[in-house]
Amino acid sequence: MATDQITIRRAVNGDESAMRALWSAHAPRIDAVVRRLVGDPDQAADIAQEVWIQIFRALPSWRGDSQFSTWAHRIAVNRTLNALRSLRRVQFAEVEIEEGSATTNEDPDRSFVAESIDEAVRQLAPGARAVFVLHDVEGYTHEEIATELGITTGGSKSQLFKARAKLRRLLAHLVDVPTPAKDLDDVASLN
Amino acid sequence: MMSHLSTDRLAALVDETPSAAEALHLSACASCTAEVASHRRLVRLAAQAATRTDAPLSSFDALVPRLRAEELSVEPAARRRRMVMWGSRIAAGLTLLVGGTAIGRVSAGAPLLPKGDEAPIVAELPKIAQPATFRNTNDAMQVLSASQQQYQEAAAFLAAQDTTSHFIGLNQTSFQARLAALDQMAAATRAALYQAPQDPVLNQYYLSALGARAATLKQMGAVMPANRQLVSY
Repeated sequence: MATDQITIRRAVNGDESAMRALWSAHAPRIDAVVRRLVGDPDQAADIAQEVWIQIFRALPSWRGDSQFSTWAHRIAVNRTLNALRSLRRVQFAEVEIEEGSATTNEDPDRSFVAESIDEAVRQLAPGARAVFVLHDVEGYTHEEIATELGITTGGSKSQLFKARAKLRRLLAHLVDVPTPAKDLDDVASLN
Repeated sequence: MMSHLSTDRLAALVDETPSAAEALHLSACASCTAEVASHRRLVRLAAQAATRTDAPLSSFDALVPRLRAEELSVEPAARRRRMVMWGSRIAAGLTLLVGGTAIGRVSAGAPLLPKGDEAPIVAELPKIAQPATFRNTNDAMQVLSASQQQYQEAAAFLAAQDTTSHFIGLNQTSFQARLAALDQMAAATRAALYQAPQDPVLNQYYLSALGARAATLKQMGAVMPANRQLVSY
């Protein structure tokens, strides 16, 4: 976008109003991916600040050959994963996913569905959450995830399927598809 | 019939193709088919989350002290002072250029303005249209400046003539497009001037863009409907 290019040139030259304009335009999307990857809101807020410092540091290296939002998004993912590694919160090797139950926050200002998904995703183990968010929310391939997280593509798939299975249980009230009554016992036996 | 599919396998079938045996089972098992459908619904809802945004976690005001500490940003007041300083330098440079030319002509015994300068501007047009040769940079700068001035005056004159504006396709929309382009040119050259404030080419384009913008605003006002007035842009 031409407007972005001009704003970025001004921001590279230290123009705070241009930096603020970039932040205002892109923070909702950038911070959202940080929030999903991190889970814990307080830690996510700290990491989001670091992500933005990193974006502004790297700004002179943006060549304009990709959308600024895509470029910044990639920095956000990398920086967030690095921060999680340094916090030793993410065990990217395959891990058992702990059991738990979903709770939903009945905040009238937010979509019930969105809040339920966010809450359920927060209950995933950090590694499984990272794989699920990157694949099913952000659209990364298993190869890209394997590179980002330093695991195998098979490990990425395994964690994804386990994460989906757990979320499917936690979010049954949202995703259940009605089955014929005769099969209800069979469904119960799957869980 | 094979036993029910495992939960991991059901989750995998959202984006993987079932084997022949799995496909056969799914065609006969309503519960496994429903489970796959539930997983697909889950993934669809998750994908929709990608486009959802909330209030930012970060705060730009909280970023500012670190941006300034790392010299990634400049405090607006300091930035204004710097802009005024460079603006003064540019203005001083142009004054020196014009003043130097005048002093040079006087000291060489020539009149302050070349003969014929008092003649109507139209009379000089054939000179400008001819391939030019210049004795020095001062002469070239004078011709450049005079040409710009003439161009702007001619464009303003044409814009003031309703029929002519239509004839050459100038209207409010085209002036808006021109203004947008001039704003981008001014912003780009202004940004470059922070890196190379003495560059005469950048200075020339920057000042030309500003001059052309002011002239375009006048022209735009001239082609607006009589009951509308250009207040700001």
